[in-house]
Amino acid sequence: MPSAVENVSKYLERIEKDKTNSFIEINKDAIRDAKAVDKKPKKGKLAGLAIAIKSNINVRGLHATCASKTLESYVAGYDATVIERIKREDGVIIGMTNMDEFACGSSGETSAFGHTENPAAKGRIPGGSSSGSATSIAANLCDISLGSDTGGSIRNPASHCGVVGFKPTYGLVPRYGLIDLAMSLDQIGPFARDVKGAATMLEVISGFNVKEGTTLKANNGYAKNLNPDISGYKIGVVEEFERLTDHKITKEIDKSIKKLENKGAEIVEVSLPNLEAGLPTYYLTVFVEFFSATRKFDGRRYGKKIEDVCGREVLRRILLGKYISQKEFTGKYYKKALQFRSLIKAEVLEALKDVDVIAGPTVPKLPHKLGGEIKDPLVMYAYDVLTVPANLAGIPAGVIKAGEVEGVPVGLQIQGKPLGEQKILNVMQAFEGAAK
Amino acid sequence: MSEEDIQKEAEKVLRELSEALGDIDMPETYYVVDEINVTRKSIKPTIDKRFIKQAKKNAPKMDEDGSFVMEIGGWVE
Repeated sequence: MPSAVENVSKYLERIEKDKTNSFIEINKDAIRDAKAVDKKPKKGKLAGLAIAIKSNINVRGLHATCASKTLESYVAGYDATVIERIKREDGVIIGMTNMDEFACGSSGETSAFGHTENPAAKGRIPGGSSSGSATSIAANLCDISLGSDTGGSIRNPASHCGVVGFKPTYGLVPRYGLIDLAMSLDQIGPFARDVKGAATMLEVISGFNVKEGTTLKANNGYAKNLNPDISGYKIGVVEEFERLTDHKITKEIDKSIKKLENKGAEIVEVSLPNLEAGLPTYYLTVFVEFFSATRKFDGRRYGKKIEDVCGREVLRRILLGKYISQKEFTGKYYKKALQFRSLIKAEVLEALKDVDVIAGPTVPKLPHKLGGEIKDPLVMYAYDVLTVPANLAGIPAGVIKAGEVEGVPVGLQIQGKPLGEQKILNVMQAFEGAAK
Repeated sequence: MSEEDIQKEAEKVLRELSEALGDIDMPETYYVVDEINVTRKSIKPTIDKRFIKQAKKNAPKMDEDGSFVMEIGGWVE
């Protein structure tokens, strides 16, 4: 077992040679922090591990830029609750990762600091918005990383980069210190190279936080309780997924589900009749909440006025949110989206009622080639159709590499009941064992 | 791409997303958690001097006395 200093030094050397643009900033004090861990007689669960953090989470003394010119000189004056918890367990923050600007994207192309390269599928987008957090794991530049997931921003890049990603139940992991995209949907979660790494990080960062209004009391020792014996588990497969997904991806996912069946799970068909309504419901909600969240970036207290320096997708969402907010007295857009959210939540919970988890694809199509920018925003938004229902319903969901299509990784998505993290992780670990 | 073009594109996006939803008669869901922690126990207030120091560094403008210099709002004559 290497010391914290040896471990962190190894990753710092790799980052220096790295060409993926995974990091926006390196923690200059990482070696000092690692030395402090090595000196401790009793060490925590993350002792000496190099942890990378998405650039929309506050880490004291480091820039939290959201990959935007708006906040390029903003240095966090405090630690987000998740960072306090990581430091308490002796994790060493190695740096801040690249992302789509203000988490507004699913490709990793919209950062003001340049796009992120996909180390698992050269020349393709890595997915987003937590692009750097996923690629830093895929390129072996850290042990574990944190991302945030509003409509798939952890699961989408985990799928495209072939790593493990986990979006927890809404409220399970504190959001205090996360710069909002849409506060009713955002959740922080881990990326790792294996299920145990993700489970360990989830164990550390989850649990009640007195500072928040939407916080849940739950932490069941996810890593300690991992159990790959899934015999007797009922796994739901959703018939509507197939219609929306590239058939080559579906084929790979079907093979993965077969592996779970071979492990003793029972496969049960379930239905999400309004699956496609998830996308407009999600985006109409996000536009309004994002517009509200960005009003503090007026250039008076910190940073620059967002509309003056942001990229096209961020500006589009601000303008849309502003327009909807002005028209909202008619209840035409936001109210309607919130009503559909009730419908989708009810359908997702109904589908999960008689099964332990639902298994299926993560992203309906392969990642496009870098430089082949998608001009139509609706085409870009369609990447999220299979991931947004989990956010709208507040349920947990994990992604693990299912296999490859044309040399590009595709992820198996496992979704579970609210606070059903343990069962999802168990299924993911069973699959990990079957895939080896 | 000009702001006007982005605005036009945004309106098209909004129209198409809204049309895709149709009508529904259901209560709204604002948050997915059933219990909102609004009556939480108070915690003892503390002052974090490092935060104050960093907040001052982040401010676009400070005067000699260490006070924030705020831009006057565009709507003030």
